[in-house]
Amino acid sequence: MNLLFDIANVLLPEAFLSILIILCIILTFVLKEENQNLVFAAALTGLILTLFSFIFIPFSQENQALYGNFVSNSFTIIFRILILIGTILTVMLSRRYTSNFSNSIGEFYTLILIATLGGMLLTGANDLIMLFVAIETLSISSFALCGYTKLDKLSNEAALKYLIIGAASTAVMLYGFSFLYGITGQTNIADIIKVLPNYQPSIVLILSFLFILAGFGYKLSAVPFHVWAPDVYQGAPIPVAAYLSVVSKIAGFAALTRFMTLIYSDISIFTVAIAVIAVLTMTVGNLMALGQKNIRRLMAYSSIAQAGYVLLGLSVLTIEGVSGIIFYLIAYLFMNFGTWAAIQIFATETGMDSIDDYNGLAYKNKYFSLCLAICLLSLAGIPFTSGFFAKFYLFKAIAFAGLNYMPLLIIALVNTVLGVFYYVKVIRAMYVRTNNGTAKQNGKLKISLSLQSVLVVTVLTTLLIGVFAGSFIDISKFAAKSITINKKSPVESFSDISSFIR
Amino acid sequence: MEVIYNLFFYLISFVLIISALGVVFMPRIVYSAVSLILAFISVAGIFVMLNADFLAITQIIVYAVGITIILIFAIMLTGKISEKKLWIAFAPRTLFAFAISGAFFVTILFAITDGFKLVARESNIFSATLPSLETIETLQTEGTTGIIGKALFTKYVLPFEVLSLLLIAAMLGAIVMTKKSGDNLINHTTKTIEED
Repeated sequence: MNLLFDIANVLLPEAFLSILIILCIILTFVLKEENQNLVFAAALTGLILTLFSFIFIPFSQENQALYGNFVSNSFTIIFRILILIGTILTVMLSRRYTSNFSNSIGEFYTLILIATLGGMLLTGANDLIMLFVAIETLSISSFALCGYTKLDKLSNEAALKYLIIGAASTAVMLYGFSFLYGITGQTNIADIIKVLPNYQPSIVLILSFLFILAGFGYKLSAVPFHVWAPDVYQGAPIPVAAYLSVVSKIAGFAALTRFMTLIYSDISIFTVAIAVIAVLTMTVGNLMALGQKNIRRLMAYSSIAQAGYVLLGLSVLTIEGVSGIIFYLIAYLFMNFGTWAAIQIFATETGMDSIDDYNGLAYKNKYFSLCLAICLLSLAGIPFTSGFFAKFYLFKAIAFAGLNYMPLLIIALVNTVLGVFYYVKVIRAMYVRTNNGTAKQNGKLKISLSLQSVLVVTVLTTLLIGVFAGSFIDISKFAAKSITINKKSPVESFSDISSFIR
Repeated sequence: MEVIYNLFFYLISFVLIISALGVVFMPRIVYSAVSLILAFISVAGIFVMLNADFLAITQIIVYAVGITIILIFAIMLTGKISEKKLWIAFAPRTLFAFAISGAFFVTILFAITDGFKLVARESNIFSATLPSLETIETLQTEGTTGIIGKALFTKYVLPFEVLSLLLIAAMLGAIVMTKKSGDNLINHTTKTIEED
């Protein structure tokens, strides 16, 4: 239990990030308003350095830090790297956006960095209190970021909705934690796992499972905890919306997967509860997305639906399912970020975000439309994009988990087909429809360098993951191995899901 | 001893429930706020009975004093709301809210009494690791403050340190929200809507 050893082996990136946050705060308050863009440079270089610091962390072995508060293994390292990449893309996305502000530029980046620290700690949190503090760090920074454009009515509405629903769901989750603590008398997850088998399964345990699932469901915007998502994604600044739909979700999934498989995989309704939420999430998300006119609301419902697919991977409760989750989230990070980058470029240059405004865009901006189309096709799961392989691998894991899960697979496939409709709607607007003069986007889009590089990088990675899917699958398989599923009797847990869904 | 303990417990619980109902049903918002103070102090009383002295003091300092004073300030500064009469609306949504909270209450009761089996006697659901008599004696003689302090800087040092960054985030957010001087924090999309 040496502090330096812990930090060098486990918490090195987080330590770097904390130093970077303090540096950014100092820069924010020292620099004049004209020079605030230096904070952007500092944040970007600092984040890239932090990304490189993962080289020094042992990848394949499990290490605990600071009295078992934080665990670093291949699973959490993959997710922390994903969160960092997402943050780097967010920071680059914000460059052009914040240049419109006359002040409060440095605070924006600082808040993003603090939220990222919360997200990274959330992935490996191994103590109920650590988990709670990490979630709150992520949430409270997000509340402030959502309402950042405070003169904007929609942004205010977004921040208020996010705050109130967030507070309520946090309370519910904390109540679930308190039950778990009451049962076991321990806050450390490793200790809880030791005590829990001696405990007679009761309704309190199931209730705590449901409450904690509700708390995580809010972070992942799973139905029925999704009502905040469309308004927040529409009202919040676009980089923040991208951040919430990708980074915040990835952190939530990492924590959910670790926490649920470690503690609750033994209880009887695990599969049923998560499968029902997954099915509801993808179906409601896809159905609601069909009628959307605003592209940001469409992306909100799309990200709800995507969360449903990922939850399916958790419901089957196998190592293959977990590796499916990891691979899906790797692909999701890049394809979703690409779409948001395109939306950001379009909104910055034209100030519009309705789908009709994209009419005939392909005739003037060939490459831009191509990039957006690739990202959308990947989200829809059209073959030879990363989204296709991600869906394929995830559904394969569900199909191999057993015949009981067949109905889930069918629902997921139907949903995939449903999803194609609204993704293609945007592509059709760009390529088939003509600009009838009402839209203001005349002339070529002038895209700033940072936005351009985000778009190009995400699109290229989306394509590359599609081409080299095998190696990414190997990585996710390796990372999934460090998840232990504490399931005693597989026969019991395989409750008849098909009867429940019908 | 047991009788006195029970007497105090029921007394405090009675005051807590009455004042909590007062928060909801009082006609003026200032009365609700005062009722809230009483509720917070009763909770502190329950903490005292559980040998959690540090928690009780914190409860009084943070909740009964700090939060309610901010609440009353907010009522004062927003002006008109304090004169507005508040009453539970007789609308379908009230019924709906009552149904939801009632169902929630019954579920919790069902769970912690292990299916209504343990209403009469004490529940043993949470008895997996009861503290030993010696622990209780130490708590009663020495107090919990030292133990909590030690735990914060050994076992829970990581969450404790992260909390400081969390507070910075909250503070930064509050500063950005309330700063006035010549900012133009506005979305791109909104800007053009205003131009039209």
